[in-house]
Amino acid sequence: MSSLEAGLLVALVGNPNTGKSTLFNALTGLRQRVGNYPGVTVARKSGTCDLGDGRKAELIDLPGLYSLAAASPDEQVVIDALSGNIAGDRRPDAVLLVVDATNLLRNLFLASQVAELGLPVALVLNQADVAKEQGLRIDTGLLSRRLGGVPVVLTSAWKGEGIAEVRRGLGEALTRRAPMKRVVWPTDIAGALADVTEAASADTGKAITAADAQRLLFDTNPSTADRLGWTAERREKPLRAARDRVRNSGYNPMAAEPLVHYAWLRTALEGVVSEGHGKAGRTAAVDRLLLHRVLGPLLFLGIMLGFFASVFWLAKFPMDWIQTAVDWTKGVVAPPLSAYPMLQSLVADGILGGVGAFLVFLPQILILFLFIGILEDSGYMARAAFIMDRLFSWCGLNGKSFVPMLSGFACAIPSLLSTRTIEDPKARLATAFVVPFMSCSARFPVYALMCAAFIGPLYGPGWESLVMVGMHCVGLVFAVPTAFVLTRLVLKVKPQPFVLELPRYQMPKPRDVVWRMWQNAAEFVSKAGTVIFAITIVVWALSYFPRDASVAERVRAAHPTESAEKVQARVQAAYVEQSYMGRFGKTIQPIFDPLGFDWKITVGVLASFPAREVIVSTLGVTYSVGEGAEADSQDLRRAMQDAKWSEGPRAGRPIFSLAAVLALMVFFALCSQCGPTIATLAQETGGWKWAAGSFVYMTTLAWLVSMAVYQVVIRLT
Amino acid sequence: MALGLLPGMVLKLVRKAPLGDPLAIEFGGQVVSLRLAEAENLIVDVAADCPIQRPRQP
Repeated sequence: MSSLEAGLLVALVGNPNTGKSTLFNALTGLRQRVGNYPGVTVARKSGTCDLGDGRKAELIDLPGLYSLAAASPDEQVVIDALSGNIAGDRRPDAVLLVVDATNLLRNLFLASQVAELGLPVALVLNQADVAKEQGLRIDTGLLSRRLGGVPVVLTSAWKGEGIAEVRRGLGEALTRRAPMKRVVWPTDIAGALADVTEAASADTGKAITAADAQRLLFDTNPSTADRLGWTAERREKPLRAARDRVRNSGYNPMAAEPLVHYAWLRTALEGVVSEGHGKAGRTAAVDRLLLHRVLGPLLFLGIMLGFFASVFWLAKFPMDWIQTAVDWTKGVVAPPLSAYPMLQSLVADGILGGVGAFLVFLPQILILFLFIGILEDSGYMARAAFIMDRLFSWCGLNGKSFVPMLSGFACAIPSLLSTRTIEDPKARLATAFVVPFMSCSARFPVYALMCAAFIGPLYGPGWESLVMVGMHCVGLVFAVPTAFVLTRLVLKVKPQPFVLELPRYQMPKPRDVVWRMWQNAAEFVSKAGTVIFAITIVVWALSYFPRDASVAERVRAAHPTESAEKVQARVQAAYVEQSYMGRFGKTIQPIFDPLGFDWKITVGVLASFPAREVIVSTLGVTYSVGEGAEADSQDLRRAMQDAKWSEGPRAGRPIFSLAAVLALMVFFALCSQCGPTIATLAQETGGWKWAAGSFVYMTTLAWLVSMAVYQVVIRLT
Repeated sequence: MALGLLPGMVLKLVRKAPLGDPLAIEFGGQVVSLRLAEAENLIVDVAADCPIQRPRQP
């Protein structure tokens, strides 16, 4: 990593909603690299920042946070990065602190915590334009003197104002290496910190920094002690004694840090900000409408439905184009290879199919992140979470779970990526775990085929639509109790505090929104894309081999009078039947027998583990209708309606009875049949453990529920 | 606390979410959403100029 080279390294730190990312984009001009921190799913964004004096620095955009008391993985990353405890990164040479100029006191709390780390600091008072509108005048010279001479710059990153001054200020901080003035601790707290430092360094043999000592004394979170290797038994007594000392001096040890910092900052800020006459912001007025008791939820529903419909429908066109492009490429590439059928099939069905399988998700991902970017940057996302929180809090999720769950009805892949907006790691995990239950658009062709072929003709269009709607709810019905059980019994989450700032409304900056959308898409293609591609190739191989030419000859000999097309379809069916996939399907058909699936459906189920929509074309092949069958294929409907059990106790009765049709749809509603989802889940949860858990859980649940449906309905009909 | 909610501060209940929970509370020039479970930990006095003069149990 380039930060290990001799160049300058600067960390960008600030509260959420301060315009930090906008400033980052303005400073680096999109010369950015995105990666991941080792072991956690926190993105590491860095870029090159020109200091305007011939020097360049690498700027790392650290996650936004309010305090250095680590609670979430994001916060832990910031602390580790600032202390130089991240593998592959050295300690930064300076910190660029971004604060909201309209709320200096609260924002400077983080700044004064960072000052304890002893790094050179440059302070950026961002959103200066809004402060000016509100009539606030800030004396940056006075503030700089009060904070020990650190450079203080007023900017409006959104408008691109003051960026050159930031570069200059940062250059100055790096040259002068002046740290920010530190808070003055009351004698007893200073004494308690000294006690902790002494005890910890005696026990661990390591040098304990001032910041380490504060984290050890003030936080109940053991992450600092764990990093230093200070064991629970050894630290318990000295920490209790030190906290008692703080308590005896009149401070609650858990509250002493903010109390002392805020008191110190109030003094430091005296006379810095003068309030003049300004317009009150529009935010309160907009909130009166958007958070109105009755109108608020209605507008929320409207916005979300519009959002969902856009992801669903807008993406359809580019998805069709991608499909057309893939088919067109197949048409160009395949014919010249007809002399080598194996190679032809590998290229056409394996490679191109695999590329198409993940490219097809790109439009939805791009559109979803475009909307999420707009919702987040405008400030509405926090309001959406505020409105929805009550509905989710009882099962361990929170208001921010709503957007991923809603977009799960379009596609689980972008939804899983969007769970990153949830700060609480356990709520994020639980949301990611239930998102694949949402009835995604790939389940639609399965329901459409079954309903059109069986429910509609037998019970009429009324029942057909009702079953369609019902199937879309099946996943949700099982997702909510799953979340409840997962958070309460497996993750054992105590109800987590959900404290959320409702920031000022702001116009999203197109560059930021588009850039984030692009970064998410690129990450999906590079990570999940390769896995999806590999799975597709494997399934292709399993259903292609072994391929003995005698099979085709036998079929042709048995049906000498049929048309070439019909015979070709029969040949394909015969090949699949004796492929590894077909043999495996026949072998394990007894497992699916209680669900009413024959071996052809079983092969379809197996072949659709990488992508559930494959069932339609696989049934097309196994029922000898030919490749490329779609949900509205009349031939396929007829072939399925005519299909009868050939042996066993059900011989002569239709395979697709009402019970089997319902069981099959329920199975597809619940089963984990999506390679990309599993790959993305592994990527987002930081390992294969949860991905494997999700696969086993969903597949088992699907089998059980589907079996119950079949056994009950078959007895009733 | 990190958000600057400190003893002695004046809080204003701006509004409740449509389902009654969470609450939007204004202090120190910002609006923050708190669940009832968290808000219950706050000990508040009703201000003299508060339109609702109902003593609340902490």
